[in-house]
Amino acid sequence: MIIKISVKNIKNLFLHFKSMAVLLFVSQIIAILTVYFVYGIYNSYRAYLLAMKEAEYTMEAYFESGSQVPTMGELKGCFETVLKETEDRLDYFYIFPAYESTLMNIHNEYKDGKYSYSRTVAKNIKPDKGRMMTDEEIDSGEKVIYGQNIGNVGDTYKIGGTEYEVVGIENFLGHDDSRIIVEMSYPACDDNAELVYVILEFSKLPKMNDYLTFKNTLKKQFGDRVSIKEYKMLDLEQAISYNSVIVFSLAAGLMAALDTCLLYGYILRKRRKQMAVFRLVGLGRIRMFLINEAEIMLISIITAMAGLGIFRLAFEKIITTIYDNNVYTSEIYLRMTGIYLFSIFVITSVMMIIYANSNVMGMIRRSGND
Amino acid sequence: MIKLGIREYVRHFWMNLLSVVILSVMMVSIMILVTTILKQTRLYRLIRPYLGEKGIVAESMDDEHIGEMQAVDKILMSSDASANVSVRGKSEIIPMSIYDSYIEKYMEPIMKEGRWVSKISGKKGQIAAVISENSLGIGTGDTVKAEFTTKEGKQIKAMLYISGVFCDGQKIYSQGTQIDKRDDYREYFNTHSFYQSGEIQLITTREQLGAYYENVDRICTTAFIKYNDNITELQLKYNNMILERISNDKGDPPGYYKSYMSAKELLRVSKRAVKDMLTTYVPLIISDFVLICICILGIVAVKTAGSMGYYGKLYLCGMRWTYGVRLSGMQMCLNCIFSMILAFLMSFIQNRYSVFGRIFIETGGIQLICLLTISIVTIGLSILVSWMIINENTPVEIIRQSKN
Repeated sequence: MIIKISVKNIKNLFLHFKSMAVLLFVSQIIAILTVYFVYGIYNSYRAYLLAMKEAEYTMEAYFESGSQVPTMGELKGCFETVLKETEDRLDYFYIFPAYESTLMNIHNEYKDGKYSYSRTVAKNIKPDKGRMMTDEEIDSGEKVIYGQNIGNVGDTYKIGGTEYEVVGIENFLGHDDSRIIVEMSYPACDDNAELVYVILEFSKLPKMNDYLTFKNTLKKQFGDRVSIKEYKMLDLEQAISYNSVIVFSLAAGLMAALDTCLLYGYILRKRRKQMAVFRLVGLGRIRMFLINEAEIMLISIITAMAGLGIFRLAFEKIITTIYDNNVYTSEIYLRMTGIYLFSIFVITSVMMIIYANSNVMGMIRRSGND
Repeated sequence: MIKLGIREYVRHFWMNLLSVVILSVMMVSIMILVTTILKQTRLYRLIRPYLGEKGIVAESMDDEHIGEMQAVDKILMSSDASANVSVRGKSEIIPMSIYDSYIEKYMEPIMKEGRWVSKISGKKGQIAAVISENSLGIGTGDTVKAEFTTKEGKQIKAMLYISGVFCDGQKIYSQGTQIDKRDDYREYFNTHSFYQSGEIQLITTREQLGAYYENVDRICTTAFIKYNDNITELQLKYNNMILERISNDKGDPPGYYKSYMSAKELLRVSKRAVKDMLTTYVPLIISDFVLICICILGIVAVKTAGSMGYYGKLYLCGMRWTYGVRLSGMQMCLNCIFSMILAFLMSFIQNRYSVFGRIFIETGGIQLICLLTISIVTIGLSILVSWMIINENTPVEIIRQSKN
């Protein structure tokens, strides 16, 4: 019966308030389109902000074999100068050397002349067997490693002329991947390992001096065999413009929500007389609430589906192309639609509580004044 | 009539309040969007009038050499001076960028504290300037002694009043830019960051320097030179000779001046960069426009539909039927005025307290035009819809409909 009355109310809405009904439907569709659009924009620009911040907080050097292969031994001869200069602002350094088929990762910190494992990276490490290297093992240069496809815990693994004890196993790339990946410490790395790249990750914004030390030190040692990524100066204006667009997207979402409230508020005001009459003939407040809420939710679900279809067919590809993102998955659509419908439900419930005065005579009197 | 309009406005207080809030959010969104686009394109708009079919972007020109060049239509360049600043027993030579009124319009820095030099009332005998973050402890409101070197090599003293400190990480028009970059017009302006470079920078205007400007020894920055369209090959060759001479005098490698970018090429890459940037704003502009249309329609429809029945009753009490149009217009006018006030207030609070962090939101000329357009459209639509309903229906029909 509730659904029957709700459907009848919707029909009456179209019959007696045609233009208002059309406006309501169109507004709702635009509101849901705005919700999807705003979500995409918000995520895109947040990603741009993060990427910009990452670029500003990172220094990178890439190595190529020229007349001579760049080795860890050569790096060890000069790298401590860089570490001492950048120590206060550096979070950790990442070195990617390789020896034959073994790919090595070094994620170490440098503080007060001592090396340790990067705490930032360690948060994501979960050994399948055994353990990670300890800070004492790293600083003392003990020949211990941790990785994938290097045998079992307690085994010995040879890299170049050096033997390492396996203390832990983790399948970084999945069980089907046969590549040998090793996590080790900077002091323990074999000097003959070939350098691929070096990255410095900063916790505080690096200074020009940090960059110049990094660049000049490596250039002096490796010459043409190293290319240093250009230093990124802080770009305040770009960061502010990204933030402005994020706030704009929130304002657009708010506009859509308020407009929907306005139109539903009008509909509910028009229903006052009907609600008063229903109360007079004995309809309970809960049933009355359900009838009105069912009508609103029916309209919202239909417009949400229509909006979803229009967005997927017409706008999704354009947005993902322009903003180079791919945030629109089925799960996201479900979540955004769910949040939208839930918000409509909560807001209209509150409005109904306000409009559906317990005093029936008051409701009748107020409905006459509109 | 006015009393009636105000009473009617107060009677529908909550709905009017909601309308005011929607309109003000609409206005704020426009202000953010327009300001952001203007800020993103400011450097392009600064140099655009100086880029033409014939022209060049040259390093370190000065007035003397410009005077020698032939068939020059116009030139954009700034100049830098060096100020030997003494404060609390410490002394440091700080570069000072000097903007003219045209450059100032586009290059006013984002302030961390204090105000830009043109926004303060001048202190007699003092040169107002803004400074970057610094290790000398100089802040807003400080007055420091400065010495400038004249073209003849003499020292002249001046008092600098620091009206504000500008934020790190923004573009300034100063010397020292690499101009062999060909990616982007933005690369012709330095990004200054005291934190990253350790360099302190002062910025002031030609107006502030006053009489000092002509006497002080200045180095000119990157110059955007636009030649006349009818410049001859001979004149072009002559100008290139001057550029070569300047380049050699500076000690640049031979032929370095040939790497200077032509204005035509810079215009081409700049247009592409601006187009790429604006493309990302097109969906935002379209979505905002559609939302604004729907919101205005919604506000007008609800307002009009809600008030018509009451106008019918007022007619019964003696009001002229067409006065309903005036009442609708008056109420919407009030809504627009209050929403503009609320929008300006929100903008002021945001700029003052950075509620959402730093964002671009200003009330400039273009933003005001947009807000006024929204207001006029909203009021106009409200009057039009009311007039249409009143014309097509009699008061009795309206009252009968409203009872349903």
